[in-house]
Amino acid sequence: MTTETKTTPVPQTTVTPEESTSAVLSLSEERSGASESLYTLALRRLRRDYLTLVAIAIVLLLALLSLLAPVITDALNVSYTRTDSAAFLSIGSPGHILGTDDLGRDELARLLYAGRVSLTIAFSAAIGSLAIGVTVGVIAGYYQGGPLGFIDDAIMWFVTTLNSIPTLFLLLIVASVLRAQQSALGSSVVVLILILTFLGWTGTMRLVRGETLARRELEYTIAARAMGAGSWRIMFVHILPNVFSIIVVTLAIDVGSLILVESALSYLGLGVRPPTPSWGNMLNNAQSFFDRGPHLVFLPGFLIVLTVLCLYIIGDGMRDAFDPQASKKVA
Amino acid sequence: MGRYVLRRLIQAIPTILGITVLSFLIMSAAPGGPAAALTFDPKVPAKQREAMQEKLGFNDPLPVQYVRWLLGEKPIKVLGVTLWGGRDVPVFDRQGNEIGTKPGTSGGIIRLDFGRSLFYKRPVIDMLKQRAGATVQLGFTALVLGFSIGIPIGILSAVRRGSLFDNSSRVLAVLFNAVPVFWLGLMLILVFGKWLGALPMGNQCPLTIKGCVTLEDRVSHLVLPVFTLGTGWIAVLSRYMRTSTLDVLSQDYIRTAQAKGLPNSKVWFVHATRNALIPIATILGPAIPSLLSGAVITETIFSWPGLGRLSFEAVIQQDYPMVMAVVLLSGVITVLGYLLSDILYALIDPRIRLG
Repeated sequence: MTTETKTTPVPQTTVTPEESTSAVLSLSEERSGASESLYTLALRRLRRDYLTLVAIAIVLLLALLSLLAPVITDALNVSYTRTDSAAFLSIGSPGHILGTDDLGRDELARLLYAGRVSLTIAFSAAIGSLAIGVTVGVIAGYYQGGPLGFIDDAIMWFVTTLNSIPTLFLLLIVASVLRAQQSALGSSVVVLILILTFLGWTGTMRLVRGETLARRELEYTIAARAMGAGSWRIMFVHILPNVFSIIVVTLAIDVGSLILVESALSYLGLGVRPPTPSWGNMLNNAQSFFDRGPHLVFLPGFLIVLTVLCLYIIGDGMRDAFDPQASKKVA
Repeated sequence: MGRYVLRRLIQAIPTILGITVLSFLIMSAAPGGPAAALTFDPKVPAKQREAMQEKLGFNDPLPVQYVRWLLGEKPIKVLGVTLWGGRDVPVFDRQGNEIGTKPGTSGGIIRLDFGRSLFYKRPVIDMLKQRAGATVQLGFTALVLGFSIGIPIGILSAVRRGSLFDNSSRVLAVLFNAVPVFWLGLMLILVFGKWLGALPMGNQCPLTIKGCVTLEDRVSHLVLPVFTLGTGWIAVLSRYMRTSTLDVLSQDYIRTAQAKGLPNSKVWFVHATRNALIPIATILGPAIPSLLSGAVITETIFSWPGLGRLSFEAVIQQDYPMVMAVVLLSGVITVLGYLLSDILYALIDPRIRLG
């Protein structure tokens, strides 16, 4: 795709020849004068941002623990489904590090498996809505105002309508409608991912549309058109890689917000359905544990807060790393 | 200004129509759906019920059903001119046989007739009116709390930039944004209601025959839900206010005021605040849908008898007319909220060009 050669040697970077393939180089093309790619620069700034690094480490640790849930529970000889008739609502008893729930199931095992479910839903839905948002956003932005402007008008009308209904209300009706058809669509986890994906792309779409509007008038787009590139090629080969860094930055914050939304829906009983645990549905009847099992109220919530907080910090750190100008304005 | 408001109102029409189309489509996809619920009677055989549904028009093409739902079955007449004919609806006996027709009585969405609640067996609009007060009380108080705490924190953070106060308030703001509303509510109930026993754990009034007697009864029941709903607003508003105050503080007129020897408190809280508050007007629009969403969770946790809990219960009870009504209502309120905040923004800042 590109045959750009670097004339100046890049000091102190760890970019291997494999890494500096076309994708990275094509991004650096527009940064005239800078001999380093946007991603290399961002990575270097990120490496000095210890708060963000700690947050990344915590999220990775939580993800790893969730991933290894079967291994850990086997090693501790506990299970997230097996009930222990000797221990109901115990707060830390032999064999159950974090105690048991009202049915005598090991709380640690349930937290680990719930983490699996919650993180899977949030990451899948974030990536899914990112894909939709970017595609629709580039198309809408590219055609805006032109002979095919009605495409943009229709998309914007739909998005405005969707955004006019408060998120939770929209989620409530869609979840309630789909709940009854769940058997046809598979598990409640898949249904929830689909719902969050198809209702969550509008923010990304607006962002991408705005960026595309600006970039379709830039010289490199005009040059591409002059060379005979078709609309689709301009949109997805020339414009898309350039708006991508803006989107990557929002990913962590999106995942965090999705964890909050998922947990709220599951808490209300419209998200992940028991016996599959999620951090939200583990709090489902928390109010009845106030007397004997406050750990059941505290632990899942603490994990939600910790994860979301770390993701928000990562989001802020990413923005600082990718766009120090913008963050200076805000800070 | 008048022309701007008029144009914005006209622009809102396609959006509101879109909301009706969207909620109608989602609801008609519901299994069972309104058709089954309306004709449900265990004494009537399934085949008969299908015939009833056919006659009631539930098998008509979706656009026909949509228009009927929107405009109602009662004719619309303006100054003697019939704009919409309406239709006669079949009447069934107890076995489900058609025994004749009568003129339609439903006014349709356009006349704010949302039908009867399947659960409460009362007109939906009456239920909405009855519950709206509690939600307005909760939401308004939460917003006032957010403003009265968030704004001063934001200003102090900005003028003491980099101080311990600034840093800790920023950390707390991020922290509280990461706390799920429902968990915050649960923890507040656990700590203040259960452990300390200082505040009631739910409801709007004491659950006795007398209900709310004193002002203290009302206020004490309001504290926990308002903090649950308002804490997020304190966080958001303090962050916005900090940014906007920092912007203002670097302007010349602030330096002039200081050079003239005005005390810092006056410069910060009078001169700077007035201009720093302008961008905050833009948050009021998005505040309304997010307060409504927050109200669903908060009201459910605290058994608060408002619209939020009504919406949640309607979803659980599959009370379709009610669900449609609350979705439509929340959508319309949102559209109007955005409109209001744009107008407010233009009114308080003459530099804003009405585009």
